[in-house]
Amino acid sequence: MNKLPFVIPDRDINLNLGLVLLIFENVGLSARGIPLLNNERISVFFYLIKNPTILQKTLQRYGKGTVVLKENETASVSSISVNLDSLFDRSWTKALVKHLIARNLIETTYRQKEGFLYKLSRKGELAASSLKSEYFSRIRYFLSELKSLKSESTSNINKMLNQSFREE
Amino acid sequence: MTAKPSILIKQLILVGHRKNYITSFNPGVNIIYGDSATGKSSILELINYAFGSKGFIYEREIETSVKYLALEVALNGTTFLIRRDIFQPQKLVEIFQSSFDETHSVYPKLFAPDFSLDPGPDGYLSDFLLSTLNLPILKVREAPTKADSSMVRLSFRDLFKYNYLKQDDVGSKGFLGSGNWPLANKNKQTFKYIFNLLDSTITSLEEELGRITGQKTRLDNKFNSISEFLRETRFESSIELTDSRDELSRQAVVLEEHLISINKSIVSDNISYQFLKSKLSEVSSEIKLHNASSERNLAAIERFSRLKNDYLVDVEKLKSISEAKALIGEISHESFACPICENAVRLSDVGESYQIDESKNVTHEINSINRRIKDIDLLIQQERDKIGVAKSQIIDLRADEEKARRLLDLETSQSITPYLAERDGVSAELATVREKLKQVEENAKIRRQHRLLYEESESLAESILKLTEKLRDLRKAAPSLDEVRQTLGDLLFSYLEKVNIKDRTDISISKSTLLPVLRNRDYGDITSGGLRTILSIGYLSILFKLTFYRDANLPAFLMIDTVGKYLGKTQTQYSDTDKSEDVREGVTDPIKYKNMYSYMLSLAETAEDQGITCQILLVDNDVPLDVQRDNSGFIVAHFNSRGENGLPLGLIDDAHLHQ
Repeated sequence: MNKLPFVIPDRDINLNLGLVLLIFENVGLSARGIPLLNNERISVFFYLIKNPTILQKTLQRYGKGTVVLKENETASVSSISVNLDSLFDRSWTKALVKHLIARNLIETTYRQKEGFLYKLSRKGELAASSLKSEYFSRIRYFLSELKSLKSESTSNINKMLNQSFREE
Repeated sequence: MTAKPSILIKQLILVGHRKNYITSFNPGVNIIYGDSATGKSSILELINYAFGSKGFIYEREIETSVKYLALEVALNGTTFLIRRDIFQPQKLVEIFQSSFDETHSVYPKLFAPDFSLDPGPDGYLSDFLLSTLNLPILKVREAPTKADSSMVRLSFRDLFKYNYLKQDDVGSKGFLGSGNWPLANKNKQTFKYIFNLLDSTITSLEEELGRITGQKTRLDNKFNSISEFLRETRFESSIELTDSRDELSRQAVVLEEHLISINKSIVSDNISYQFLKSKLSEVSSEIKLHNASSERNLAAIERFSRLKNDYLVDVEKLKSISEAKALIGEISHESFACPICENAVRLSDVGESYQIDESKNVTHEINSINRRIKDIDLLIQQERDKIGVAKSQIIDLRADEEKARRLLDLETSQSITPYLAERDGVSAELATVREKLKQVEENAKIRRQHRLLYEESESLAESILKLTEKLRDLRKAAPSLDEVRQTLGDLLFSYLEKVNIKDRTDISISKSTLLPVLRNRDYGDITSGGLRTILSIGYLSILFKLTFYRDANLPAFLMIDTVGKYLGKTQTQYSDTDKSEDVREGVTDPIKYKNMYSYMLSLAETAEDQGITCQILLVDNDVPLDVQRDNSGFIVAHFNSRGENGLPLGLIDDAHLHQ
């Protein structure tokens, strides 16, 4: 799997690490600075930002604002058929988290109800804020709208997501 | 010698529901023969009915098959058509002065058939017949010996008794009322009338003359008034009407032909119409093809665009990879301790799930994708160009389509609509012409009627002339009864000689009965039925003959029903005869029978030689072989009740087909 003759951008480690950092940057802390993200939540947000059409649907359904999508996000081949696999593969998420921890980009806490929670370290904050490419900016825009879901419970967000899938 | 009264039957027509049953007749002798119950007697009875008899006893076949009776007959040379309803004898009789086929062109006169009924608009049938035959219309004394006896009309029916010998009367003891005093008396008066022997003849004739003269004057006045009226109203003359009719008929024919040719043209011009139609559908399908391919182009463009978008996103992601890598740092392959559980966490397994790339790959990849994006752009543009080409082609094709459609409509309106308009015009014109034609024919009918008045007046003038002559002759040499009896007696003798009966002695005409006397025996006293047959037929035949040689008020017309009665040829219903006498007289001798026929045939020949119109109708069950052979042309109708030899079954020959 490593030595494929062509690049699949979506699978690149650096890209995905960057995405997770952005997630932490935008929806990682509550208004009072309490960490919000566990593995599950990271998966959900991760999925949402990678599938903007679903993101738009979910936001609209629950009246939590909306995102304005570009043509290349709606009129693409990927947008036609939505792949759910990534949502349920937790090993991805875990691996990413491991990596970030190894680089001292995120810190861990433990709470009894939610399990392990993470937040950005100082180094991680710096790194996140430096991600300025067009693509990352776009993701940042999506996450800013997702802030409205920040305080929703994970089960709620899952429910919303399922509804959107059903509509497909 | 004044012209003789003549009756010449031309056709007897029974106008039926399914068809007309026609019997045609010739001048001279006409023979109708065949089995019994085939309608032979009916033919004569029908003729009698047309001449005003009281009723006609009709069989069921006639009731179901026939509508009415028509008799085409020439009276003194003028053709008339007598129409009478068989089932309602009281109804007025219609008489058209035309042949059977031309009755629509004249107006009929209407007569009452019997004096017991109210007169018709034109009077009584008897008066019409007598006056048309130029016979005087007289009254006779009911009881001739009483001076104050009331006068009764002598009708055509009285006279016709001397022209028609019914089957019951042939050889009957009651022939011409023999044995019945009032009847016999009436017939004697008629006899005298025939030979102008009536005491009152001259006065009556003078009265008649006065009457006819008055009639003519009235008729002339009527004619003149009508002529003036027609002139004042500028009514077209016969010639103008004929010309109009010919012209209109010609126009009608032309218009009809025109209509036919218009209809033909509408059909033939369809060819160019079909051509345009097929052209139009060709163009339409081409347009459809172009539209379909444009659809496919659009679908391709969409696919390409989607793919391009994916590529664009990928490019962005690739760019981001570089950035992220720089910021996040190298992957180390160390392991570290998990802060929570102190387990070693190795990072190398991360590499397995994810790709770790070389930066130059990324740049390489970005470039390659950009190239692909360019390619797609080209493809998209190509598709767009194709659409553009198709669009302009469609524009051209649509123009063609429009043109073809316009031409088609033009073709239709040019070729069919004006035809339709023309056809309507011609039809309307034709209707007008036909209407005018009808009017012209109506007017022609009126003109003819007008003309008839003139002709009637002319014939009255002739009658006046004849009557005047007659009176002169009568005044000069009044005929005497004795003289007539004498002449008839001679004729009777030569008749009986011709027939070749036995013992031809003491033959004369009785002074009292005016009937034949043989061997000094009155007719009524003769016991042999066969002999009576011979005498009764002979009597009428000699009267018939006498009219050739002197002025007599009797048309040379004779109808005899069953010549062979009592002569061994008839059914047993007739039994009023002394069979032994019959045998003694040898009445069944076929030669006698043949001689009777020969006598009548020679009568007709004589008449023809002298240019006298005469007609004899003979009905019999059988006919002498010689007559059959030699004179088959005289046989007018031959019926066979079983249809043998393909002969008609009878007068009504199709009743059995419609049971």
